[in-house]
Amino acid sequence: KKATAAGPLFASAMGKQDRFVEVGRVACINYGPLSGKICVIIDVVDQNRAYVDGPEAITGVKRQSIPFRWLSLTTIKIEDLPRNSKVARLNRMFKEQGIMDKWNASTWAKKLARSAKRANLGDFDRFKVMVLRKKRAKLIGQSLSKLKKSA
Amino acid sequence: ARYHTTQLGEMAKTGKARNKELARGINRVGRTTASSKAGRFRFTKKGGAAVEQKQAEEVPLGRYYQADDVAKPIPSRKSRHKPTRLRANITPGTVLILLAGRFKGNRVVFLKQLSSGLLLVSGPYKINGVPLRRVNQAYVISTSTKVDTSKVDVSQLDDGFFAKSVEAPKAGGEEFFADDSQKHVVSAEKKAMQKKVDKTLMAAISKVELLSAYLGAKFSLKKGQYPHEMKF
Repeated sequence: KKATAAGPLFASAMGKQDRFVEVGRVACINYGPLSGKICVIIDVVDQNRAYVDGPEAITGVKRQSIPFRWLSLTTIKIEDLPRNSKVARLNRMFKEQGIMDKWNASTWAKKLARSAKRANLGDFDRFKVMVLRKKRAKLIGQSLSKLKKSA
Repeated sequence: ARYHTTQLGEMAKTGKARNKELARGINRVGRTTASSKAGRFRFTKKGGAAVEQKQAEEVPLGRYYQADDVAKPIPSRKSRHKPTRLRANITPGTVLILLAGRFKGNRVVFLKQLSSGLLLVSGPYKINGVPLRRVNQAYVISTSTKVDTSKVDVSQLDDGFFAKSVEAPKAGGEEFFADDSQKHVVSAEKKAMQKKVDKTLMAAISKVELLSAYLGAKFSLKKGQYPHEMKF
């Protein structure tokens, strides 16, 4: 089984290796038109490719073979998923185990969503962000000066 | 379909094609046969001069050339046939970013497209100092922000409003010694129109939070910002 991409470097720091390529492993696609979407590994094709399904109805990733290089494994896994399960079973188990909620609660997903939001800001939105950041900086500066005075 | 030359002649009488194009420049029937099918023998006599029957006044242009070269004037391209196409994302009320000219970087409100094709914009004047001005579409970025201009009346404004008044030329060498720092005075008419338009504009702008400050701020690219990656 493949170790995580960060494997040798952080093995001692992370301790137990928990992200394995296995049937049921949820991965995030990091390359191509589907980048940013999650999918479930339902089979392994060969050394380089995994067979993957969204499920399509939930994540929008069609059932397809995809290179491992395009995937980033997550810590989420669908338990007891049979190899090459049909769409109906995959959908059911995906929903029952609340995979989408688990993913959305992760910091990873939140960061992706934040980057996407920032990229889609219009000119007026960027102006509003600038105003808010200035306000925040002012508040921080004020409380900092208070702390300095009292110290 | 392949037709015998005699059949082609018959077809002509019924209004069908006497000849057939096989490829460009190559007809089914050659010149001699074609003319006999056309019945040109009716108008020519053997060994004698051609007897002209009453023919149409116009000689077919294909075989007719002028004896001398007659200069043909090049058709003028100045007559405008189509109005300048306005970009789909520019509608009355759109906030535009000016990219060139005196007010580059300023964000202004688009009012309407004039008959010359130029865009009529206003700062509004009180917010950023941009008056009622004409601007070319090519030097403008349109943003997704829209101001409600339904109550703004610019129907009377057209290119004539911006026409420069022609001053009488000064005599002889006076021009060179004249005071160069002539102040550009804005006519009272323009000021009145500016006030009228901006009044309704400001009312609409003040309803949206931060919009007034936004229009007063200039646009610039910061580090890490690339226009082709940005959404406006």
